[in-house]
Amino acid sequence: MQLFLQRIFDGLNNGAVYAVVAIALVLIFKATTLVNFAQADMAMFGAYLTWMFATQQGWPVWPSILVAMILTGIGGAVIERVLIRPFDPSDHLPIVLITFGLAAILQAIAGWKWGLEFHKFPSPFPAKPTDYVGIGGARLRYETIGTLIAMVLMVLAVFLILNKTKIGLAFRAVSSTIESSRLVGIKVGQTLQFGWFLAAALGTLGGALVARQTNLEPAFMAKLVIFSFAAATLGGLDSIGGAVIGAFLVAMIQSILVGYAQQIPGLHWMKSNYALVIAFVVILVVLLFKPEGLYGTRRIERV
Amino acid sequence: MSGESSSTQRRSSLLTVREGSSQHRTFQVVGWGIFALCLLLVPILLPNFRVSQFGQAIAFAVAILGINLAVGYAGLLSIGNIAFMGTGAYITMILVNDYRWDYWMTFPVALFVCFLFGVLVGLPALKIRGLYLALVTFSLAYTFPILLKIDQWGISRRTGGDNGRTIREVLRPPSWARSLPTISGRNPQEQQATYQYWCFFIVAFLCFLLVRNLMKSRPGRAIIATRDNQIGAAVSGVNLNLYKVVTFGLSAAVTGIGGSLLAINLASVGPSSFDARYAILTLMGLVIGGVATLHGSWVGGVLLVFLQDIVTRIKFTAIPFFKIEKGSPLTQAVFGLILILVAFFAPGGVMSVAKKIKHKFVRVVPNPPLATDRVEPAPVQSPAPEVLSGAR
Amino acid sequence: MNMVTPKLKVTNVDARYGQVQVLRGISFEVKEGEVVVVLGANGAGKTTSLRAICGMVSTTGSVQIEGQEVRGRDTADIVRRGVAHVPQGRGTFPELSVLDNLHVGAYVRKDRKGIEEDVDRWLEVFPRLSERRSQSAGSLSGGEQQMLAVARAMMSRPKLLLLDEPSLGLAPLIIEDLFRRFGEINKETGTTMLIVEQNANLALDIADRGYVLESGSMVLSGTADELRTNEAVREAYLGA
Repeated sequence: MQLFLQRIFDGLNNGAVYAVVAIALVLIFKATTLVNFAQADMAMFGAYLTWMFATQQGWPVWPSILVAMILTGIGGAVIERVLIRPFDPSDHLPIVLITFGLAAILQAIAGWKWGLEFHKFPSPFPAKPTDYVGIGGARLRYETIGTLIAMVLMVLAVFLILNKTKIGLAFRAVSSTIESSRLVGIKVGQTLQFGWFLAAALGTLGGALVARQTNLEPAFMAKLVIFSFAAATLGGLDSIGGAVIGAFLVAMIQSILVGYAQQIPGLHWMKSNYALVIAFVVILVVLLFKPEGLYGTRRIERV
Repeated sequence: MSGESSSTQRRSSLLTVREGSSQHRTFQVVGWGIFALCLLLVPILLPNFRVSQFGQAIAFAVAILGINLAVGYAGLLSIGNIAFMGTGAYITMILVNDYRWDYWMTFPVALFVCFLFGVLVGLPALKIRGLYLALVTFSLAYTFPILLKIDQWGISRRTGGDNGRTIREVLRPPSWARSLPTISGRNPQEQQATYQYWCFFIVAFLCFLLVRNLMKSRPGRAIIATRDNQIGAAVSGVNLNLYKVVTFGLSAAVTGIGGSLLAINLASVGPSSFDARYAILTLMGLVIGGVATLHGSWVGGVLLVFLQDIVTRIKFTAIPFFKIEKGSPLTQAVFGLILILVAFFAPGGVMSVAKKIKHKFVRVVPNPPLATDRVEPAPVQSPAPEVLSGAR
Repeated sequence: MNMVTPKLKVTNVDARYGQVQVLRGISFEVKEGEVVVVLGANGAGKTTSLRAICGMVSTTGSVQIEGQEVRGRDTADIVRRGVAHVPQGRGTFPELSVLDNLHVGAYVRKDRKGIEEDVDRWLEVFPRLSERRSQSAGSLSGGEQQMLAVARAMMSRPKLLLLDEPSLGLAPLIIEDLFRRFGEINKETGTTMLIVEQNANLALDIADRGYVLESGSMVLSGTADELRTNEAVREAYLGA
């Protein structure tokens, strides 16, 4: 029982993080039907910025995160204008090249500026070994609670922005039908930039939430993003709520499967990095059998 | 002699040549002659490790050719092909090490297994397109190294897990080969490298020939048709699904051969040569070389190997706080930058740029020249509308 | 506003899709408060002429709105100058609710209070929409979507309303109702309207003037009455 609960708590923790980045992916996909392969490294860059403000400038953690979010958000908007907009969104190869190229550049700059060695990331939540709530023998860390709360607040914020503001309405209109959006006078380019701004800021938040738990190094988000891809795909690539649910499902499956598999004879070879394999299988299975995921609306192109 | 310039030619080249004419043939012969000469000079003039590098370039060229088949010709954004390269390499390594097979005997096996593997991966591709296919296949590239390290079922024992394994015996030229030109009379390492070089070249040549003939054949043109116009192709009776799956299989098979070649070249095989980073590098090689062009594949292979070499040597110390030195992580940024620049300025790769340059000098005109003096339709002026009385 | 300057003045406009020339130097105008109909068969270029006004297709020639040249400007810009375009296929946002569709129609406006008043007013005019105000637009019937499309267009309080084949795909009774409402809107708000239609009968009933477009050229122009009684028009477009 205790083990099971612990698995659940781990799943909650990971799920919250996957969710934040998954929502970033979904935002861009909703508006542009593009997959941003550079999302991970944009988030990584934001995490590094946070670390730089917090350790080198001595700012408290949360203001560092917020400033980093804004800076990366602006970066995202610039990226949309300079690197993405010149290309026809239905020609996918250039987009793949550009986003991968951008990812490589970001990783390189991070490594050059801040070094390749692992850094310790300041904790956004109380994270001493004693900071937990004991439930049924398992430990629910404050960190997990904090991450969950942060995720919920962020989802709420996104929801409010999209549904209660004018620019949010424009974003939803553009996500629905671009031509009609032009016909009501919406400036599509600026709206897309706003979407990228949000996505980049969210990515940074996700990076900042998880950096404490892994190590801060240039490739740390790249290793994790596949889980968010799986979450977003499972949820339906254009559904924000779906991404959240997908994130928790993926995290739970991983947590329980990998955790328990180690107990089952014959499956004990499943080390923790088989979580990656699970993510891959999820992506494959969803796109094969139900490409619009659990809650998505847009039909993934078939022949 | 030179073909007449029709009104359709916007920029006149220096020289216009009829396809199939003796002039054209001369150009072709000269072109191939130069190519053969360069080929010959490599083992003769260059030091050993360079020759070996060229061998590696050939291996990658074949792998890129395979990727080109899927991505370039068939338009299937399969960017996880590196997994097939790894499969070929590991198969060769395991058969040679554990079962004492001869190197060349492993090739048919690698071909076959990779083909099957490719068909398997191709089945999901029937339903998924574009970026989503890229997503799935990229995840495959991500997962491949992990699969190699599975402790169960003796897998990691065979694959050598994290560190891979070296191949017990290096490819040695047989005695009859030792008396061949460019090989005879040299020291054993040179002989080995040169022999390997020529063998690789022959294998690569066969692969390129195969793909070229495939693309010119009816099924090949059908594959290209499916890339450009899915609906049109489907309507004209092309069995899309079959072609897609077979293309995937062939693409995987050719890439697998490239992997086997790489195994021979490196004389060892490890998961780090076939991970996500190499997936992107090979894709980059393909795109820089030129998607959907035969020559682009080998150009890409050569560039890939030598760019890595060059990039690690870049020293840029002019701007004090922006030093790029050997081993600096910033050198990786160069690759990213190249990817972006290619996407912006030369999406057709080196080959498209080369074509443009070539057209400035020589233009090959199909024979006989088409009777197409295109006539611009005279803009039709509409007559003033008939105005019914009183209305205006 | 100058009473002499027409609301819309199109002069010698060419438009082509690739190599195909669709509009051949057409010229026409719409005066303030008028309802003008453009008739023509399929492929005559009717839709293209509306798209040309909105900058959705590249053209040569001149398009002036209240005397201001707008040819070559981009669509959002032209819309901000007071043009509302209801395209073929309605142009509603299927994933957005009826209310959201109305609000987004008023995107170019900044007066919150006025927007809310207009939302209420249009929901009153189209009670069916009011019933379904929170439903997604995609779940509405064809006729309801058309009404929503028109309401959405009117939300921007346009100076010029362009309607592209509003009757397409609708049942005859609905079409009658629709055109009656167009007439009412024009009378009550004085909005200038340019309607493109194949179905000439009902359109001419509410129109002041009309043009006939054939293969990209304007071949006829006249008052609604004149067109209605014209032999050629009757044969070709009125099914008489």
